[in-house]
Amino acid sequence: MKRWIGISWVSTVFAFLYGPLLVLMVFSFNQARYTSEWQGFSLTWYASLLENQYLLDAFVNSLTVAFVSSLAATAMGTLGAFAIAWYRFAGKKLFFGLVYSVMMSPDIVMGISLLMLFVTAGIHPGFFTLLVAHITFCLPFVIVLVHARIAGFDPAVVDAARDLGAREHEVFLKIVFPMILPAVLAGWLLSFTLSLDDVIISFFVTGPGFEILPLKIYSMVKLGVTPEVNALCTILFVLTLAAVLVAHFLIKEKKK
Amino acid sequence: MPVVCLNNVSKSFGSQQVIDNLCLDILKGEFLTLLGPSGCGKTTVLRLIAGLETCDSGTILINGRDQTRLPACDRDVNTVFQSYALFPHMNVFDNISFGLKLKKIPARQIQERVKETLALVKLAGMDNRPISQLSGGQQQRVAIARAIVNQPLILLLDEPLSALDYKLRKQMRLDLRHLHRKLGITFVFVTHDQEEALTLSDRVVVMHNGSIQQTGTPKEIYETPVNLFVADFVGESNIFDARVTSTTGPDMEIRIQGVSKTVQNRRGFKKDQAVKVLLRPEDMTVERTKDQCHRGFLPGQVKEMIYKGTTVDLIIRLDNGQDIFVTEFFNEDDQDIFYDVNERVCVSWIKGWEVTLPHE
Ligand SMILES: Nc1ncnc2c1ncn2[C@@H]1O[C@H](COP(=O)(O)OP(=O)(O)OP(=O)(O)O)[C@@H](O)[C@H]1O
Ligand SMILES: [Mg+2]
Repeated sequence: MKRWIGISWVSTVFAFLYGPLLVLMVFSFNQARYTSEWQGFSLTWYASLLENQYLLDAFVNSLTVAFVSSLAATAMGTLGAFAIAWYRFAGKKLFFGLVYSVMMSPDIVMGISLLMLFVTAGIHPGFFTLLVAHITFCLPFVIVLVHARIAGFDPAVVDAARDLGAREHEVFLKIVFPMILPAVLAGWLLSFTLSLDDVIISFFVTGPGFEILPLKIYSMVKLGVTPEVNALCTILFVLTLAAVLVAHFLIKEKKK
Repeated sequence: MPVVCLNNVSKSFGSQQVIDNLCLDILKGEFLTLLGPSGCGKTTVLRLIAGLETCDSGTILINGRDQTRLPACDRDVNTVFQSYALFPHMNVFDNISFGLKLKKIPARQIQERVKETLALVKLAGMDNRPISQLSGGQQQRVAIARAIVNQPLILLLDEPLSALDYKLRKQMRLDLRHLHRKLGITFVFVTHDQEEALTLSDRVVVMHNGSIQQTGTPKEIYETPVNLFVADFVGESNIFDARVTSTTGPDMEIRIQGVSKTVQNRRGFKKDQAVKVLLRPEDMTVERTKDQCHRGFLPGQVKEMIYKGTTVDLIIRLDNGQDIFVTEFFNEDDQDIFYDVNERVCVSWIKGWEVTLPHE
C-alpha cells in the first residue's frame, strides 16, 4: 500500500515536470499546423526550420555568444577560484559573498542594472553587451564549482610535486590542471547552457541588430505557438540536456 | 662533513618569529629526530631544508654547497608529508614514478626501480591501485616509496606515523629503522611523540619556540636533560626545589623539603644556591614506614596505585603537599610492591641518579 502511494507520488511529480516537455516534443513531430490534434508523424517542421534563415541566424548568434561567453567565464572564474582558494587578501570573504549574491540575484534585477550600466557608459546594445552580460552571470557558477574542487584537495600536493622535482609549469600541467579539470569542464558546460537559454537578462541588453534564439522564440510565441517553435524547443532541450548530463558526470567523478 | 648545515637560520611569518637563529649539523647517514611540542617550528625546519620555504637570514649548506636560495625542485632532498600529499588523480605506480619521470629516466629503469621500491615498502603488486582505494597505512607506504625511489641524499619525514593506529605505528617504527639501515640515506624525522623519538633515532634534537634546547643521543636526552623544558617534555619527571647547604668535593649537601640529602655536584653549584632536582619516576625508591623516615628520605602518603602489568605506578603526596610519580618494577626478590592507599611511605633515590639544574 505504502509502496503504491510512493510510486504514484513519484510519477505525479515526474508527470508534472516532464509532461509539458513531452507534449511539446511529440507535437514537434505532428503534421498539422494549427490544430492540437495528432495528424500523423512528420519531420516537416524540422525541415522548415532549416529553411528559416532568420531562425538559423539567431541560432548561430546564440551559439556564438554561448561559446565565447562560457569560455571567457570559465577562464576568468577558474583564476578567481584560485585567488580565493590560495591567496590571502583583504576582503576575501566579502568577495566570495558577492559572488554568491550575483548567483542568487533575480535575473530581472540583473538585466535592468546591466542595461543601466551600458546606457550610462554609452555602449550600444548588441553582441558586445550581450557577451559581457552573459559572462557576468556565468562567472559565479564557475567560481563556485572550481573553488569547491580546489578547496577539496590537499594544498600539500603542490609542495609534494615541487619536492619531487617539478618546476612551476610542470606542477600546473601535471598536478593542478588535471585535478581541477573536471570542475572546469563542468563549469564551462554549465555556463554554456545558462547562456544558451537565457531570456530575461538578454532581453534587456541585446539590441535589434543582434537577435538570439531564445528571444526570437519568445517573439514568435507572441503570435501563437507553432509546430516550428516546438521543433526548435525540442532541439534546444536535447542540447541542454546533453550538456547538463555531461557536466553532472564530470562533477560526480570528482566526488569519487 | 655534515650532509646538512643550518647556520644561524631565522624565519618569520609576518610578525611571528618561527625559527630563531637556529644552528644544526646533520651527519651523513644518521637518523635524526626533531622533537618538540606542536607549533615549535619542526615542520618549518623541514620545509627550509627541502627548499619549500626560504629563510630570512642564515645559510643552508647541503652536501657542502650553499643551497640557501636553491628551489625545492633542484635539491637532492625528498619529503614524506604529514598528510602524505599523494596525487589523488594518479594510481600507485604513477605517484611513485612521478619524480623519476621528471628526471627523464628511461621507462624500463623506472619500471624496475618502482617495483623494487614497492617490494621494499611491502606493497608489491599494488602498482595499479588508485590512491582512493588504499588504507591509511598503505597510503603512508606509498608516500615513503614515492620519496625514496628517487634515492635522495636526505629523506625528510614529517610526523609520518601520527595518523596511524597504535599497532600499525609500532610496526612502522620497526620498518622505518629497517629501511634506514638498508638504504643508508640520512633520515630527518619529525615528531612530537617522545617515545617515537627515543626508540628510533641516532640523535634527537629537542626544540621549543623555534630554537634548539638540546641535541644528543636518546640516552643523553633522557638521562641528562640540560634544562627543565627538556626534562619535562621528554619522559616524566618529578621536579623538586632545593637549596645547597654545603659542598664537599664532587658532592654537595642539599636541603629538600626540610630533609638533608647528599647528591652529586656536577655543575659546580655554590653554597646557598637555589637548585632544581629532577628525578625520573623509575629512579625513585619507596620504603614502608611505621613512624620516622631514615635520613635522606622524604615522608609521604600513597594517594593512588596503578597496576600496569610489568610495573606499578604510585602517586605519592609528600608531606609538603607536592604530588610525585613513582614507578616500581616487579622484582623476583621483592614481590611486595603493592601498597595500600593512604599508607605512609618514605621516598628517596640513589645518589647520582638525580639531575640538578640551576633554578630558572
Ligand atoms: N605558512 C605559514 N604562515 C603563517 N604562519 C605559519 C605558516 N607556517 C607555519 N606557521 C606558524 O609557525 C609556527 C610553527 O609552525 P610549524 O608548522 O613549523 O610547527 P610544528 O612544530 O611543525 O607543529 P606541529 O607539531 O603542530 O606540526 C606555528 O605557530 C604556525 O602557526
Ligand atoms: Mg608540523
